[in-house]
Amino acid sequence: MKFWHSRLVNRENAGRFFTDKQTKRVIFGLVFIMLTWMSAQLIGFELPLIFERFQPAMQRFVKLYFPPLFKESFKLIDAIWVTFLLAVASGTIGSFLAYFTALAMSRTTGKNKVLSILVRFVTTFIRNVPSSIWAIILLLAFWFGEFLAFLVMTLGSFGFTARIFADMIDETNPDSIEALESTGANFWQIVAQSIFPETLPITISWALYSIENNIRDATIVGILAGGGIGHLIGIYKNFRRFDELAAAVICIVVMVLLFDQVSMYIRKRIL
Amino acid sequence: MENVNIRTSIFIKKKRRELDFDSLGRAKLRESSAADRMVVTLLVSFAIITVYTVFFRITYKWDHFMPEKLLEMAKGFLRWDTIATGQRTDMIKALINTFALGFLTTVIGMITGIFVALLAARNLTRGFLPHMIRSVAAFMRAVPTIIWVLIFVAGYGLSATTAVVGMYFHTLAFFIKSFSESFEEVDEATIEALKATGANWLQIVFGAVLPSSATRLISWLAIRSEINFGVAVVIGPAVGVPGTIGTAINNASRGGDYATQGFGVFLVFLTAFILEVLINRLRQRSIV
Repeated sequence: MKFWHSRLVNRENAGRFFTDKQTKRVIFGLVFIMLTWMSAQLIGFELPLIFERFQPAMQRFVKLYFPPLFKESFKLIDAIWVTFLLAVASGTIGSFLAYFTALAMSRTTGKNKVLSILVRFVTTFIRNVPSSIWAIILLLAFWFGEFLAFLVMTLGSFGFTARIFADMIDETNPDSIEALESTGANFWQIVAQSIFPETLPITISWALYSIENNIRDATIVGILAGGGIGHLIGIYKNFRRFDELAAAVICIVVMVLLFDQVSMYIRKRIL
Repeated sequence: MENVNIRTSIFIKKKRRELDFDSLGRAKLRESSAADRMVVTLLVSFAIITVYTVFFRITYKWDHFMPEKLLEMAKGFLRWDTIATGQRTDMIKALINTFALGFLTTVIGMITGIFVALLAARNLTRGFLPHMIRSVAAFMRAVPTIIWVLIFVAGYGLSATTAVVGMYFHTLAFFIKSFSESFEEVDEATIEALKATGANWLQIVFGAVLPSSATRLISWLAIRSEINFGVAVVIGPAVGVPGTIGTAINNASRGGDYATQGFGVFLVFLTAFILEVLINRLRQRSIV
């Protein structure tokens, strides 16, 4: 009743069924539903199929994957160790390069406009091309292996952190920079004395986050580019050794959860 | 003040933090100096691991390195005039398919995610349920999306439906975490006030929680659709879901057709870029 009443009494909305905001919402909702339905039609999504085949699918899954077989334990542990090393190394190098890029990109430190725009363009491109596509492209030039995985993860970390670091440097305290400028400090002195100490803890926490992301991405990067646990999973998948694949997945899950806890602990301590 | 326990560190000297004093009048500097030591330790260990990995661990295969391929790709990157029209439309179709895959998964994940997240929000649900749901969600997020897809390929066969189901679990876990955190940020006083008027759980949810967290939810939705687009691109080449742009790019690059490959990469870049710009606008409006 209230709904109709307000439309009759409110002079502004007299004669109009919907208020502007409501019209917008209704149209937005309708378009949303339309798009969803169209997407489902386009890719041939069949909802009933999922429920119909759920039980046999689960039975097949359990039969294929269980019990997990830790046959090549040594290989598995080595792959996990390599994945960890690759993730940390690429995260570190990616963040390190991203920091300097961010210095060129940020409004407070990037005085050279041409360089700033150029760098922005490059980082936007690197960031918005998914790491899997980088793996496919670079596979032709660099051979399948750990180095390619390292390269792909470094590009991913670089693109992701460069933007965050630029925002972070934008938000640093301008007073200290000004104070240093008035004493005649040059660019690198200002960076070393003011910006770097102020942003270091946040930089490290974001670097940790990008390492976390790298570990999560390691599976897909490994399948496409080789290197680490993903490479092993790719082999198991292709040779249909599903029980060993299940063991590898358990290793990944343990590593991801463990690293999450460790990085959360570190982040709490340093921020 | 004879027990002043000051541990000077490189960072404290520069930042001049405010001193806290305990009941005996001793300055408490331990926490911050521990943090600084941790920062230094982390930097050193990152550096050691990186040096070890790059110089001693990675096997380089320079005999397989082909810089001329990179050059060829760079040359072919924006040469769209050399692509056959059929291939161009195929690529655009593949892009739309990929986008639809990501979008559909996001929508299904969101619809179910909201309900589960309501049960996982500690200010709305009491007892052990939120903790349990969060643990399950953390586990679901730790299993990579590609593994979820592989799991369901075993039972459902290779189709778009399988891809949606596989991507769904990771999306759901993401939404449970982000939505329940958004719900927990809703002002406790509003909920208390509604409770005092005798509103039931559903009335609290629809009257206060959902409206006041709507902008945050939309931001999370946008962020996830960007992630899911990336995932949808990935699962093509990794698992072999046909008709997605990742598969098309993979085929083009295997076949040495660098112009088509470049066109595909450009399309992916453009879509991701547009999504990013949209998200930034949403964020500025709603301020997450």
